[in-house]
Amino acid sequence: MRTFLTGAMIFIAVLIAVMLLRAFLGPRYTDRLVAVNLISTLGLCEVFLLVVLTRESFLLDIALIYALVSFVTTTVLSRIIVRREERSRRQRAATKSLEEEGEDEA
Amino acid sequence: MRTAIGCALVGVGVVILFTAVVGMFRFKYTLNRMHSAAMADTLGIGFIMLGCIVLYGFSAATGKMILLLVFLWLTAPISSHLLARMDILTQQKPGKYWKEEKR
Repeated sequence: MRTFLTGAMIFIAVLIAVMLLRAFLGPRYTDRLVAVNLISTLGLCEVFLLVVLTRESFLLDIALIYALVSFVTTTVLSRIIVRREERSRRQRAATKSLEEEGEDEA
Repeated sequence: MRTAIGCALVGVGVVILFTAVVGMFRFKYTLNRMHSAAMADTLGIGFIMLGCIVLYGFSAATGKMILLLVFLWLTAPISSHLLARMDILTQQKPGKYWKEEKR
């Protein structure tokens, strides 16, 4: 059992390295965010396997904090970016209506 | 017997995680990639958690694990919804996803 769990942990570590490559390559920033979310999920899996291997249940608290932080990261980033996008759209609409008024007068 | 069942569950979870990572490289756009990332978020971590519960045995830590799993299953859809909204709002060319399907 110990060798199997150690092998699984090593395999998941390789998957985390591969996902870092994906986060580096991703053409858009949302691709990178999805990759970072998946990295945090894989890290949680590592922590669970470590709990079973070392029989230390206090690591679960660390896993809980990790899950909370990854959720808050996504929420705060999305709030900031959506606010900025809405503001720039409003500005664009305002400048467009100003230009149309100018054309009417001419 | 219990060890065999737990190891099998952990193995299935690791295979599902591997499938999700392969999908992240084979799909082209963000929404397609989120489809494969959600699989790891729910099914892969669920199987690994089940295997860990079987291997660890029943105690107070098991309840904590189940609570963590419920928390993850509640927050993963919310964060993927926010990500998808962010992607669609800031898209430069609208209709990119449908153009690709016609070909």
